[in-house]
Amino acid sequence: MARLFEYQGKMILRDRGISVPPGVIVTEPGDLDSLPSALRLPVVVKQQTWRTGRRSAAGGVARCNTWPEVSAFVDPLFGSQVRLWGPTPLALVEEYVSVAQEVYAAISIDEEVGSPLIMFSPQGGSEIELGVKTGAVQIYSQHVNILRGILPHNIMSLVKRGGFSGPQARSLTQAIHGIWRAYSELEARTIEVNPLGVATDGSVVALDCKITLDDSALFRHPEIEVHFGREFDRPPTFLERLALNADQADHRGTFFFYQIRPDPESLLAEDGWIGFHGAGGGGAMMSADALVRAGLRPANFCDTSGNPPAAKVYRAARIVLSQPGIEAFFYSGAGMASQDMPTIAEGLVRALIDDQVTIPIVLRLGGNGQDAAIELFNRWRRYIPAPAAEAHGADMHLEESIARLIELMKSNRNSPGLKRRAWSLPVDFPLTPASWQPEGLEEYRGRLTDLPSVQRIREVPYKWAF
Amino acid sequence: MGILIDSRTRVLIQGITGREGRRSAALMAEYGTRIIAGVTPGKAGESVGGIPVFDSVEEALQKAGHADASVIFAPGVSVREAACEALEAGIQLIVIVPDRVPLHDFLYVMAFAKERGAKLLGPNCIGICTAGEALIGMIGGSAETARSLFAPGTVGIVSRSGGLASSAAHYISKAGLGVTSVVHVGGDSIVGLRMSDILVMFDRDPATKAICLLGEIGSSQEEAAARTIVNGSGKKPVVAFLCGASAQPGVRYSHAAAIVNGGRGSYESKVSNLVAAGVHVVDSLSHLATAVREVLK
Repeated sequence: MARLFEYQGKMILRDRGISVPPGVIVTEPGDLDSLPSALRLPVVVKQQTWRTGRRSAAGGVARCNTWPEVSAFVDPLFGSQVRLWGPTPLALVEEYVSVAQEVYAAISIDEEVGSPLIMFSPQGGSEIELGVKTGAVQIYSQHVNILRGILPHNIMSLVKRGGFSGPQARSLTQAIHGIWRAYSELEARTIEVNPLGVATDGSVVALDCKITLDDSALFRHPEIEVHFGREFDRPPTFLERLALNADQADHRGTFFFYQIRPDPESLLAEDGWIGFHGAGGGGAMMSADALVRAGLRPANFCDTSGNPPAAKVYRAARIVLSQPGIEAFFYSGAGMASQDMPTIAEGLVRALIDDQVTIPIVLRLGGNGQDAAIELFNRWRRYIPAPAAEAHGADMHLEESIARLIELMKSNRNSPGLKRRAWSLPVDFPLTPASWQPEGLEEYRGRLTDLPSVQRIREVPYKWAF
Repeated sequence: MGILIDSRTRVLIQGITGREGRRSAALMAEYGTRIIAGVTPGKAGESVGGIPVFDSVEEALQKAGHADASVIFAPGVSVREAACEALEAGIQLIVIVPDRVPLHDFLYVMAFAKERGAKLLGPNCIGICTAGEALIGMIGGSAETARSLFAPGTVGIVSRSGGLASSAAHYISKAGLGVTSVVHVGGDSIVGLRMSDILVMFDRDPATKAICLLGEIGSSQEEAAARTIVNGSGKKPVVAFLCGASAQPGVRYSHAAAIVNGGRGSYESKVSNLVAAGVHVVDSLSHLATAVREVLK
């Protein structure tokens, strides 16, 4: 679920007639020079960040009375922030706007009813969640029948319930109706404007804006610049972007990849990291939980599901395997997959061969066609250099297979040179099968689709740290 | 017995000529489901494994007769059209298999279904099987696997994960208990029938003696299920297994629903709500069958 930056959200609101403070986006050091001619002091500087929640508590917002103060706040950001996509906006500098009251307006989905819910409170601000919990803040809400939409007079009654009347009620109604139009036109999951400022003369100004979009509808909104169509708690790494590309370039099945430990330094310095390839959303989560419970550390979360072709499984496995420092590879789903397991096994085996994997491997191939899948693995086992590699069916419980993995890892520690994966940054990552092919290994069921944007990604400089 | 579908349920397949449609049509027909027809616009006159194909739902119902349920295999972006077509034709149960259904499209379908009093299962749903009677969707993968997984018995299974639904059924069947119906409610954050709805149906099904609930982090379905039990609408013994204990807060995992924000939808919240409702929560799928046998004593 792609999150938009605050500045993007404000531009969307502005396009629908909602006032926002005059502001400038700072991307490069040179942008600071243009500020004095564009804005009046005092200003508010807001770091544009991926993190949600209490940004001001983390020091990402400052009110400045002079331009040198602005530079002092913004300058350190130029060096520190990850710039995954070339120049990205670092901060939004806005004129400070004084308001009489801060209110809360948001639209989200009530999952129990299955319809959008408009929420309004006369008491906005950063403490609203706490206030709702303690009962100090009252939220007024209204469901929307999506077949009919909502009319201004429906919103007016919501605003009046919140204690507003006259010009203020009228402006608030117009603003919230604008938020609804944005919500509906963009096919958003949530829009939160907190606070929405109300001046004594009745005018209304959006002082913040958080928008989350629906990834499945992004293709209908090419006008919105989405940097990464997934909901993460930090900017994505190179491998994560590569994974998203591999998923999007091939519409068959789904592939999800998230690095629990994204920095290679700690992967290399610490013991016990597992390259984890899960299958099926629930089965993958269950398997990751069991690894953690057994004292192992999945370096990543990964899931291939929706009956993926071998090519997608192959790419996923290659990406999991290219994490430096991992000491074992574990493939596991819920145990009894409806996916076609011989196809899955083909993708996995080809990746293990192409990658010339030496660390211990345990594959749980239980499910539809498991015997043929295990047979396929055993037939091509000798082309995989790893001294310890096993494939099991549904009859081996998850916990047992993890116990096997631990045993194999212990025995592997005594084989010098095979301890763990070497650093293998995938700069020239082919993502297509190696030219060397063991004689007779079946061709992929499911052709490889091209990955046109991999080249583009490679050109962009990136850093691991953030 | 079992819930939602049985051997008499007449089923229509929308998107029958695509890759998943063909594969699943064979699975359903071989399992014994009463498939009356398939629909793919522009493909009237073709047949898929002996099942006649029509251009529209209306035409299919005119020529092949009434349908109780329709299952959709169209791409996610076509689900809104396909589901509304089936709803307009008066079909009362729609099973939506595809993932990547745009959220607002599905909200539209939900509102449309509500007006017609119809039920939706999914989206992002592997399907439902009433053991020994009928199967809708792609659960099991092949009729042979489905028959070995879903031995007729007394345990109802409801799951937010397709893989967990099949795996739990496998363990329950292997333990000699067998299942009544196995229902995957779908992996998306917003789904039609929720776990709590299915729980109430199992409660009313005389053949079901115990229920397995397989949940995961994100959404409030498990909490709602616990509320259903506390309110007295779920009186049969429930054994639950939940996954996502090790997930990172603020990251949306591969299921669109799997996210924990500010403690909401967390593993701990779900476990404590279910335990407070008297549900037996196990920490490994391999303990499920033993726990079910225990509560059935």
